[in-house]
This record gives sequence, structure tokens and C-alpha cells, in this order.
Amino acid sequence: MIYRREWKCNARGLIIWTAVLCGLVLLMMSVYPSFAENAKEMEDMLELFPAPLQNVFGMNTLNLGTFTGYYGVEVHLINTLVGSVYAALLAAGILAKEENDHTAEFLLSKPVTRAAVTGQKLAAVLTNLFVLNAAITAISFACTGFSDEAVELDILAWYMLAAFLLHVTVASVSFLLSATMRRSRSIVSLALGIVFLSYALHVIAGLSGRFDFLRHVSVFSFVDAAAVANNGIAGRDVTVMLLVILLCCAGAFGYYRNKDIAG
Amino acid sequence: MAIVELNRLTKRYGKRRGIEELTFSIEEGEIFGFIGPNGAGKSTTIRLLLNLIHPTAGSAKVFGKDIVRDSRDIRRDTGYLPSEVHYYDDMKVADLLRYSAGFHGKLDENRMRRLAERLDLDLSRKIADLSFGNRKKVGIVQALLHSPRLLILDEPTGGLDPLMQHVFFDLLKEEQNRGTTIFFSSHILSEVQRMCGRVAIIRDGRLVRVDSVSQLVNSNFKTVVLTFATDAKPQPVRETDLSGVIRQDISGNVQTLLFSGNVRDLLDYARQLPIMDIHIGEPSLEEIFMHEYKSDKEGVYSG
Repeated sequence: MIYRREWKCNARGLIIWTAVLCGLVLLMMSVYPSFAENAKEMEDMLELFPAPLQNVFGMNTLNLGTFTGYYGVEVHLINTLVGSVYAALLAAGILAKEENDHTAEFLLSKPVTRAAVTGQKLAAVLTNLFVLNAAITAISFACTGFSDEAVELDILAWYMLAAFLLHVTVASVSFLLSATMRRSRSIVSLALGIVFLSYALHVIAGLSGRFDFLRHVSVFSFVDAAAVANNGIAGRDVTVMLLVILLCCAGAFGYYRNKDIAG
Repeated sequence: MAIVELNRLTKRYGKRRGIEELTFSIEEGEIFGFIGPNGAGKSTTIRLLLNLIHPTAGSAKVFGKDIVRDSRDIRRDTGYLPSEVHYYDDMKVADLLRYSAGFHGKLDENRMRRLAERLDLDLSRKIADLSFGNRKKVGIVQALLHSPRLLILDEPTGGLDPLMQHVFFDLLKEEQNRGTTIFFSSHILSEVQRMCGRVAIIRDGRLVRVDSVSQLVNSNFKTVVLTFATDAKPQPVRETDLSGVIRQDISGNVQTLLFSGNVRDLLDYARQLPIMDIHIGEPSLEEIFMHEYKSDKEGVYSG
């Protein structure tokens, strides 16, 4: 019931965000063939960027002349950042909106357990994220058609997995906020704040070696294209993300079970 | 069998007052009034019964089941009309009712249409476009639709015009005839007096008393209206002249007393007055309640 309702409610948002993200991927990748042709000139030009900036975008490690290198620098950032914004918006609102709009008084007076409400809403979030990522993956793999040479598909798959893991991590943190707080607007602001702060920390970490330790704090560093392209996602980082997901979801269930619903 | 049973049920919200050690029970098939001024704790009590909030201490049972542990089972057979009705703005009335019925099992389309027709509610309208009164009607249908064993109504008549109130009360009577128990919270005494068999009076989160409406109305209290001759001026009654006057009020040449003393003393006293008319009747619940409320408050101040 609730799952179906959430699926319907969020369908429009999902379609729009999926269309926009897939469109961006397609747009960026459609430039790749002409880029690859003049790879040498382009690389020379990009060399003019200051070194720290190159580091932030992974341009010093990734080879822009290859499909996965170009994808890592130009597209992966969009997937991770824009997708995280979507994940945050979606998950932050999904539980809290019932209390915010006073419909919780209706919903929770029906014969459903709090766990079922939480579970179905969480399932709706995960389904939406899965659909979004499946669409991005499909379009990204389709874009390999732009490349004349063989594409390192395993690296592309790592990018996809990294983006999905990041989205789910961001969503579960936002979902926990949604379960514990009351006002939708402040939750959305807080969730987006976390996303952008986390991204900012990743940028700072790349800019200067002095702040390299921040790489261990920001989830965006965990899924950084340059690192992922070299040796996949670090086992430690995967563990941290899975742990965050698990703890946040468990926390959301536990808290919402005993929450006093505001009248 | 008791359908609702509160046992020292308590809810505290930090500094804000909730309810304190409420104990009473509601029998199967009765319409039980729950009255008190705004902020007395009526909604808090109801929201505890539905497990929207959790008790601080004490316990309560509905259908013999614990309100926290077996809340879902309880809600399966309960219809709830909140004092402020909020639904999903993107839905149409029929969508909302179908969604609601979906939680209870099968939707009875006929019953939905019949109820909507009685209340003059258009099922095809969008919730967002409805007036306050029409939203309330959606709430009423939503609460009644699955033919619950227990109806919990929190200030149900707010927003309904008199004609609709009449229809609504008829619906409630029909439900009662089917054996439904109704918990009727209100601050409007006349409707409680009209509908309910027994009432619980609550104030500042505490139970003042539980009694049958007739008991409350009959309990020795009389309203006495003395109409004086046009040239006479009513004087306040002094305790030495007549004992048992609880409240008195003079307006023009009409004096109204709330009286609980001996009627013969009253007549002896009245005989000496230049009155043209005397009327002795039963007070309304309103008057008793005012008295109950006032004397309690005085008690608090002096103690």
C-alpha cells in the first residue's frame, strides 16, 4: 500500500531526474569522439590547469584520451554529485512529510506497524535509486559505442557501482534524518548541506597535500574516479559505506518505532 | 465487556502538561462523552489510545488488548476522526477513501457511496480543493467506512453546518444500534448531552468525574428563574436568607439561581419576594460544568 503510493508519488521526480542525468551523460559523451581525435592537443591545453585543480578532477591520473579516463573526469562527477542531491531530496522528505503535512495522524491510525511504514518507504527510496542507476548504467554502456577502441568495461562498471553505493549512503543518512526530525524543510536543508560539505571536503583534500587526511572523511573521496579507475573502491571505504547504510537504516527503524508523532 | 479501559494512564511532555493518571472505562455499545476545555488533555488521551504517542506511565486496553503492544490489532477495528483533518492534497476524495480502506482489507464501494451521499460529499473532487467542512466529511466517511467496532471522534462537529451535524448524529445513532462503541470527545456540552449516555470530565489533564449524563443533570441541581415585578429590583440572595444557592445572576428584573438546597425553603423565601413568575427546572450540563469547573478552581486557589 504505502510502497505503491510512494512509488506513484515519486514517479514524476524519478522520471525528470533520470532524464536529466541520462541526458547529461549522453551530452558529455557525445563530445568524446571529437575529443579523442584531438586527444594530444586537448591534453596539452588541460595541462595549463593548475596542478591542484588537475588533482581534484583526477586529470593528472586519468588519461582523457581514453573512454574511461574521459568518463571519469567529465561524467562521473555529475553522476555522483547530482545523483546524491536527488538521493538526499528523495530520502529526506519521504518519512517526515507525513508529520510535516499532518497526514501521519491518518496513516498511523490505520492498521500498519511503524516498522512497515518505515520499511516500505525505505524500499521505495531504494527502488527509485536503483532505477536511476540502472538507467545511467544502461546509457553509459551504450555510450561506449562512441569509442573506436576497446573500452575497459570493468572500470566503467566500478564507476557505476561506486555511484550507486554513494547514492544509497547519502539516502540512508537522509532517511535517518527524515525519521528523527519533524520539519521537512530543515531536513532537506541539512541533508543537502551534508552532501555539499562532503563534496567540499573532497575538493579541499585534492587541492593540497596538507589536507589529504580529509580523503578518509568524505564519501566523495571514497568514490573518486581517479582512485576507482586504478584499483576499484578500497575495501575499507566499502566497509565504511555499508556500515553507515546499515546503522542509519537500523537507527531510522529503531527511532521511528517509538517516536511520538506531533499533533 | 469494557471496550476501552484506562488504568492510571499518564503522559508528560517535559514541562508541558499532558494527562495525569487517568482511570476510567467505556462499555461496549455506549456513546461515551469526553468533555473538557481546550488543552485539557482530550486529544492527548485519544492519541495515546491510537499509539500515535507513547504513555509515560500507566496503561490502557482497547478490546482487552494493550495499546502499545497490540496497537495494530486495535487499529484494525477502530475508526478515528481527528479534530483537524489533513489528507494528501494530490488525491481525489475517492482515492483517499480507497487508500484508507486498503489498509483494512476490502473496500465496500456501496457503503462508501451511501455515506458520501448522506453527507452530500462529492467523491470526484480533489482533496486540495475542499473546504474545511468538506474535509471533515471525508474524515467522517474515512472513519466509518470499514464499519469499526470502536469509533473515536475528536471534536467531530467543528466545521459542519447544523444540517450536516444532524445527519452526522443520525449516522452515529445508527452505528450505535449496530453495536458500535463511540468515544466522543468535545468541548460543546449541548452535543454531548444530546448524544452521550455517560461522560468523563477532564480538566488540566486530570479526571474530574465520570457520571451518566442524566445523573449529572439530575443531581439535586435546579435552575430557578425568578421574574420580578417591573418596579421591583432583585437583590442578591444572602446565605442567611436561603442556603443552597450555588450561583446567582441578575439581569434586569430577572434573577437566575443554580440551587441545590431544600425546595420548600426556596418556596418560603420566594413567597416574600415581589415576584411575578417562578420557574424551577433542570440545569443544562453547561451550567453544571461551569459550576464544577469554577468550584474546582477555587479549591485550587484556596488550597
